[in-house]
Amino acid sequence: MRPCRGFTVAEALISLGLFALVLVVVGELTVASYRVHTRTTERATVFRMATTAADRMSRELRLCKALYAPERPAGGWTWGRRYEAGPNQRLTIVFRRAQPATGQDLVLGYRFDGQKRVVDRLLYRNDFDPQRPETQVLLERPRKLADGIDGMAFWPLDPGTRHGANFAGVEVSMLAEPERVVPGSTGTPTPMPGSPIRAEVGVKGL
Amino acid sequence: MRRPRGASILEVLLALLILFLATLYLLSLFASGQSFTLRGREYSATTFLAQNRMEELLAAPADVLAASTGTFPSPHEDYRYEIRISDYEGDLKLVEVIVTSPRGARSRLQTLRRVDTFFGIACDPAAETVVFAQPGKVQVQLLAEGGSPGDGPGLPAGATAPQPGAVAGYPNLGLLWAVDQNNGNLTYFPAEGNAETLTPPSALGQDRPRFAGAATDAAANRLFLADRANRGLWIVNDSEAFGGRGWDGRSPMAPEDPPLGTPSGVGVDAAGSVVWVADTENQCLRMLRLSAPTLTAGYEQEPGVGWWSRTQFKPPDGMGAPQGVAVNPWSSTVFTVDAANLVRLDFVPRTGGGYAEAWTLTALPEDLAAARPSGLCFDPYRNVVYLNTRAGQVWKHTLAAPGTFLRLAGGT
Repeated sequence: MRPCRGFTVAEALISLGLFALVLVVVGELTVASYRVHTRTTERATVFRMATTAADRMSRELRLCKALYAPERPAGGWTWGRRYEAGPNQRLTIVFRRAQPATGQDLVLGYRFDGQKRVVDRLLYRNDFDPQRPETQVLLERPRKLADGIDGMAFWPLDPGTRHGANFAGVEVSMLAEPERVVPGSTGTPTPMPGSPIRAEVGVKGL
Repeated sequence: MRRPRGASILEVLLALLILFLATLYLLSLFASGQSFTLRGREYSATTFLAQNRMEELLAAPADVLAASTGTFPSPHEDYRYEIRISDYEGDLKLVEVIVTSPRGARSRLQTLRRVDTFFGIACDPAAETVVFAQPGKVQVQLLAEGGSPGDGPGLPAGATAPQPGAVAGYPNLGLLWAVDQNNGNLTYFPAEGNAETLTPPSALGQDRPRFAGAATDAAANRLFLADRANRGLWIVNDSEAFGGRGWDGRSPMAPEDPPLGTPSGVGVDAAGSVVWVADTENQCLRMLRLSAPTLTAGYEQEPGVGWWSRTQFKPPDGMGAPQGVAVNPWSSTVFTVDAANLVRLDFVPRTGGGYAEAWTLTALPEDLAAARPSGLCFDPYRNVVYLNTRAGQVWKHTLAAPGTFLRLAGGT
């Protein structure tokens, strides 16, 4: 009877070598996939928050009765002019909106902070007067609607292109590689796929 | 007995290959997850773009809407939209916006829009006659007190079958204006001679005007027209004092702060110094003062014309969408009608000076409300309001007898 035998040293070495190779490849792929998954999830979260912020802002702007900021220029709006802020800049849109359920107006602000990369919703006192700073008091702490945001813009649209109705556009944007956007950076930032999120709505109190 | 033996090198390699393939498949799920995420973003983008396009369509009168396709400006130039308009039921149209992303994500929004038609009415108090437009009739209708409606002058043929809409003037004095709401022009019927048709000027970037209301002062020097396609007011001069007959300007005038919503009617006093506009969209009345001294507080200048009041006149508890305006030519009383009430506005002197608004709402009878009022006029001699409806009925309401509404024409 032929004696039992295991692997030869050569066989064992080849098998272990192949196993190690497969392990390394699988490991690399696993790490890469995990990174992609994490990044995708993060971006999806940022995108979802930005979508929510843009949607909420546009819905509330539809009920706008008076816009306080950006302030209407003395000579009237320059249609299509963009009021915008990018990384390390700030932009706040403040307006009075109707609240049909109670009949009492709300004074709201949507603030983009380019340093913190967040969009906050601000709720002001009802007697808000743009000429009197003492009335510009917040009723509650700013509510963060979205973070990971890299830009926000607002622009009034020519009523002549909308059947005489006042329209305004709002935009929330995110960059594909926001960590590269630092002061002094020379690279051209590219937008995240699907960005910017843009809404153009009828605004009676423009 | 079979000999015990270990795995061969071939078996080991096969096992490793299977392990590798299984791992690859599991890892590919991460990649496809990313693809789904991108697709999800495109769905969000298509929804926003479709909403934007729908918002534009909602700002336009329903009869302006037309099917179209196209792309969006940068950065969404790869997204395509399609607008579909189809008849739904009665005067309702189904409006659809479909937006498709480069990867095939698609959002579809639908809404129903009513194609509004406007049938005006004007009083000729001295002749105890009203002139009105009726659905399906090319001629404006004349109705003398105590008589039956009869055909008046007819609109000239146009690209489509003409349909009178807003009317203004005094037919028995040979001063009559009628809007052809199907062809978007205006016809003047003089006492003698042929009718004259005026086509409104078209300004760059603006829609062809669609007039929902017309009114003229007692001397018929100026005609005021409410343009619902551009949310503004046009003036047609008909006097040498205003440079002869013609359109005053190449674009409609409108206040900016607050802006005028979709107008459905216009009224003016005898002197042509105060014009009232029914703002259907904002459910209020707006006032334009002409030939007034410089006004600042509470007014916005309309260059070369007058001053818009910034006040949106409405009853304390609000009103529905006003349809048409009638003005007492010799006082400051204004009438309008919504779906349920005849609404009257008077200005009552205050003891300390100035005037207070006094609103009176009179409920419409069910039959009149069901006929959908479209316009009204006031006869100051008899203290009577006449109402025209979209169902072709004309009603009379005597102010001295509150609650009394009498059908004069149309229906059974």
